[in-house]
Amino acid sequence: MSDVDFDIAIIGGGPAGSTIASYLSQAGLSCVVFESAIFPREHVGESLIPATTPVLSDIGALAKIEAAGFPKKYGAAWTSAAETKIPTLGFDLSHGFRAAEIEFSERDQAGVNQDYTYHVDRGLFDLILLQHAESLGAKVYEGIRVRRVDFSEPDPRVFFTIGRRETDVRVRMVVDASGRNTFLGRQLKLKVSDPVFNQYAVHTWFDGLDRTALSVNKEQADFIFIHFLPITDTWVWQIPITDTVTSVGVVTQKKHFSEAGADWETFFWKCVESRPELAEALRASKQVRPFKPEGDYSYAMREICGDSWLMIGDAARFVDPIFSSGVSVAMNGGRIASYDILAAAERGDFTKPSFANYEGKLRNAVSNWYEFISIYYRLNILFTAFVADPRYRLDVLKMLQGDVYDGGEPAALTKMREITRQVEQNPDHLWHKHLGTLRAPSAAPQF
Amino acid sequence: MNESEVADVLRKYLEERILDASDVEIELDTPLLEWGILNSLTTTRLVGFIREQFGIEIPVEEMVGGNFKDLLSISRLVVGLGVE
Repeated sequence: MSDVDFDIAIIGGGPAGSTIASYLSQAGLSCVVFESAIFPREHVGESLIPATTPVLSDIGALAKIEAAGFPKKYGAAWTSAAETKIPTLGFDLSHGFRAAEIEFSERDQAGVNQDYTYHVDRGLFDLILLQHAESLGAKVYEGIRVRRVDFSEPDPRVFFTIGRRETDVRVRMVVDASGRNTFLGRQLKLKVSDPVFNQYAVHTWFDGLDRTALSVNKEQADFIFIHFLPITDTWVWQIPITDTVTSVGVVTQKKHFSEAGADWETFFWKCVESRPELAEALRASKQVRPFKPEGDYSYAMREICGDSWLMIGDAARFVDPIFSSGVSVAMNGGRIASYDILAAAERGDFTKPSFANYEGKLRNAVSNWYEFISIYYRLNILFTAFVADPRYRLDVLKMLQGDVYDGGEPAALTKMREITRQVEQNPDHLWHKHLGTLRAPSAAPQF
Repeated sequence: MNESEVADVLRKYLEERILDASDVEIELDTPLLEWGILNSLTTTRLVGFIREQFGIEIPVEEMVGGNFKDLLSISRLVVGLGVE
């Protein structure tokens, strides 16, 4: 035991890596974090959900996040594309009806004592968390890229280069928190790409966007907004980053992107043009970052843990961005995995069965998310109906809060699946023509 | 309540809450779906209103074109589901 350099090596210093490093360091294990970038660096995934709050509180970082002054997120709103009306008849359907909106305070959540979460500049947020892990005793190397991990002996060796010299550390186990880089998934050949993946995202930041211009209820201007566009299966996120800066991204099927045959900028504007009030508000503001594309991000892992290793966050599985769950799954994965790792360290047994609890809970969570998101894309109106239905609202909100790790499938989800099947089978059903074709951009859970 | 009383309640709701235009009159046979007065969103709102107003849950399998094509059909559906 004394012949290792560190107890735990963590590849990646994003929210997943920093969280697990914080839990484990707090509990007295020695951790080393290898982060290939120099922080702060830009990152997509800026809206949090309340399930991050208990984790931030556990590791003692909540006060630092609060003090950083990130915009507070009290809820979420989904707006729907205006439907075809027939103007010659003189009808005007009432405006301002939002497809769905929720406030987090509507449902009590264990371990959460505030009725808001945050929208974050991930450059700053990730930096705070990484420095926090360091302050708890983790050894952090930035700008260091791990080359490979040798698992041929019971204690793995992590190889990396400093300058031109390759060196290594010997550890008791390795945690892969490398995000979409999927370091171990690639090295161990466990990564399965989604063969029919078809989503693409293009995003940037705008300064001076009048967020109230786009919200019906001015008090909700700082919610996250998900705007569905009249273009089939295309949506836009609108996330406050500071008082004046707003992150805006378009998520669409790759075929729309290819059909446009244009650059990202032209494509972005073409998409938002389909919601004139949105396009107008955006044009009146100033774009402050270049357009950045994200594509080919769909994959699954055949295994997420093994002897002396496990994966957390996007390294274990990518989560669709529609419900802002990425950072939450990363941080809660770090939390749950840390319990197993601490127990394993106590027993001196880092073999795969030691991580069964983590594996089960993550499977539970991502299966629920996967199902929920698939149904959302397949029959968007059903989500609207369920949020409006008092019998299911809190159950849906529970998922939106990120409360998905314990217990079986939420009752609302079972019901939604049943209804989707009925609508699919009945062409005369009023919702039949609203069946979407967008697939959740992740293969079904495989581990 | 009978069909015509239900229809009056629903007409009032449609005219006041779904349509902005105050001068439009909805008749028993106004083709609500065809004219786009009822679309996926407004139908969802209407089903919610019926639940609150009459305590009637419209089963998902009844949300078909034939039951929502006009006020008369919707009223028949609501009465048939046992409104008191």
